[in-house]
Amino acid sequence: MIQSVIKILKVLNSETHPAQISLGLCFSVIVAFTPKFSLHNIVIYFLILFFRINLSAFLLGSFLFMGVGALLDPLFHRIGLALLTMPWLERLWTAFYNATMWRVENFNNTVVMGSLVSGLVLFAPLYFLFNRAVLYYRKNVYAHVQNLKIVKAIKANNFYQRYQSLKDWGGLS
Amino acid sequence: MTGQADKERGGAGARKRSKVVRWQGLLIFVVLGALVAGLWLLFVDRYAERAIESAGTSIVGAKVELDQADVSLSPLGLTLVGLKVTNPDAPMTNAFEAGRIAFRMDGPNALRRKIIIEEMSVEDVRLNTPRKTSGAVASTGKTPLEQLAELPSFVIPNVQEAFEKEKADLRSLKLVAGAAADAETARTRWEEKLRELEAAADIEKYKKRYAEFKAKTGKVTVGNLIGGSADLIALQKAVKADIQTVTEAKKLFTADFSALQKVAADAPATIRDDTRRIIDKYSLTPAGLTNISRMLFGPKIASSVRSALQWNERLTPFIERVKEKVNGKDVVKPVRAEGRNVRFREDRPLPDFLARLAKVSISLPQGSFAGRVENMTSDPDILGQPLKFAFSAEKLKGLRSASLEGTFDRVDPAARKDVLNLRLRGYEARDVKLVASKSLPVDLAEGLADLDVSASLEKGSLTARITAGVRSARLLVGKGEERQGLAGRVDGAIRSALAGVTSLSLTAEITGTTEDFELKVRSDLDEVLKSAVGGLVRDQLAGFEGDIQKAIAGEVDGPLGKLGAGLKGLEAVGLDLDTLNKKLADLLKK
Repeated sequence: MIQSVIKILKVLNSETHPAQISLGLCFSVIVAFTPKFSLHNIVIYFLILFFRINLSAFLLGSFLFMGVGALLDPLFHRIGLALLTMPWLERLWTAFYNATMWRVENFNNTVVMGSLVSGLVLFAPLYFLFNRAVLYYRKNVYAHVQNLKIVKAIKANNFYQRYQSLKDWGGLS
Repeated sequence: MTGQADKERGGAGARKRSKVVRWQGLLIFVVLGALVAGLWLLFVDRYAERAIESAGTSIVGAKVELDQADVSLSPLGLTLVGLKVTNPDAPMTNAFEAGRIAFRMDGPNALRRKIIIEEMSVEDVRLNTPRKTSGAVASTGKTPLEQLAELPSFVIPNVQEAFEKEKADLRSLKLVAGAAADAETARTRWEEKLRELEAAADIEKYKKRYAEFKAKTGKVTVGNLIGGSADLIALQKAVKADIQTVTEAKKLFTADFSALQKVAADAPATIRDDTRRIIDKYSLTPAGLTNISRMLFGPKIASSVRSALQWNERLTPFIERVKEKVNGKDVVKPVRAEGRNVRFREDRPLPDFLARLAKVSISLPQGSFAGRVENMTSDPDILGQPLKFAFSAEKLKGLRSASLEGTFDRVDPAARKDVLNLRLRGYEARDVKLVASKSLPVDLAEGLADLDVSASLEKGSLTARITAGVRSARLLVGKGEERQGLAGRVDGAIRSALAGVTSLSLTAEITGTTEDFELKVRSDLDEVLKSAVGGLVRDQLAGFEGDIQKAIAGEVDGPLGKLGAGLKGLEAVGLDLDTLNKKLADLLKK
């Protein structure tokens, strides 16, 4: 719990660009909603590490949204089933079904399809929403949070100070 | 100078540092990927073991355990050691145990989530092995054949036992109780109807109208005569219409009343029918003692058939996956994942699981059986071929030859057909418990048995025939609990008769549906026992029949009384209808 609080403070208070934090959170939504070792998630892990996307935001987001994803599985099933059984998409799905890569992706599973499409559809709106939230936090909330006793106590903690000393290691902020 | 050069190099380095890409991330991705792959390789065996145990347990409905799983990547394959499947009906027994199962899979198809196995070897299969739990081992110590040959308790039931067992199926009781309830409902309904009719055909009102008409026509004028005759005709029409309504109501009433009366009148005959049915089922009828075989062998055969049908049903998920249709697409539940998998047309259709050939070796106490199973698949409709199996063995210990073969044809789910043929020859039976009765325990001390079973289950319709023959038989009739009176004398006669039996044959025919099948059993023991106990049975039967009939009549008595009361009530309603009709008819006479 303390670690999560430290991470959120670290993420939000760092000098990282809001877009990098938002991207990390948006990618985390897809990873949290869909099965962890799907083909598309391996691509996302690569993107997160290769591009300057905030890793802490991604990890924290993955953890936070995981529960939401599990709760939404029945909804994802219905969305996926509707998409996969749409007659006008049948030719596309049939082509995918006959391609090994898409079978590895398990796209024809209703939950995989529903959760992936939901994650992708939410990606852009969430990106702008997270961006604005980070900016708002930095402008209006940051100073108050710094004065909270609990935050001061956490910042005085040895662990937090060590964590701070690791900041900017290899640009993995 | 040097400081200036450093500054320039630093500046160039800063310029080169991309704001978008972090190259070291690529290295970390590769390292993490390698780490995950390493961990997967390290734990994949354990993961496969757990996955098989968990999926198997959920499918079978009882514990499935595996000692070890070994996944190989090149060539892609899996070896399972020590697979144990618990019998859900007997949790202290493993229904199936396999020492080793090994197969190779088609790699490219595995990537497409299709398990295609050209040849599978299943070694050291054992059936019905005891399980160890908390140090206690429950073992029946019987081979499957001995279990098949085990027979039910041979006890001639007493009246109370037979009656209690059959009470729920008494046709006479159902008919009379139903009719009593109907009579009560009919009485209420007809009383209501009578009130309605009486209100509609208001006799006093008609009389008043008639009196008014008479008063009007007292003075003989043309106008009075014309107007009066029109009124009279209208009155007559109204009365006639009411008479018609009442007459039709009476017809319907009579139909209701007669039907209920018939039930009451037929009650003694239906009681006799029930009595006859129970006697036929439970007693040794003098007409050839035909029911002895059914009494002796019937329950055990029926229980074996039910058990076989249960296993057939349990195997169904393995040989025929349930598919839903959504918007014309096949949708299947994946074994170990959330949601459903939607299937589309494939260029080269293949089932999700297919083992083209499994070579199986089974170890039984009599020796080893070898066999093969072809076309094991969860999607026979896609494969287009039925599952076939064949096992055989010769010159086993105490068994000259055995063969088992069959097919599970689920290619067209609407026309599913399963066929099984079992043939045992020269089974040296020893100490097989034939009848586990307290009063008359019968064992087959020794004998040479042949058994043929042929069964087919087509579109839910079951047909099976079992024939068994035992020669060089020596039956041991134990000294059980002494019974008094006639039952004791029958026991004695049967004991003497069976002691002389050296051969016996049995034929059982099963027809019907999986839920409700009829069993006919014939045996040459019938003749032996007929001559031995026929006389005694005739005496017994007379008493048995009378007592059963009394018991049924006693049970039916209450509802029959209610039916009588209901009929009396209805009879009164009938009389009231007649009275109403008569009153209306009298009006017309005036």
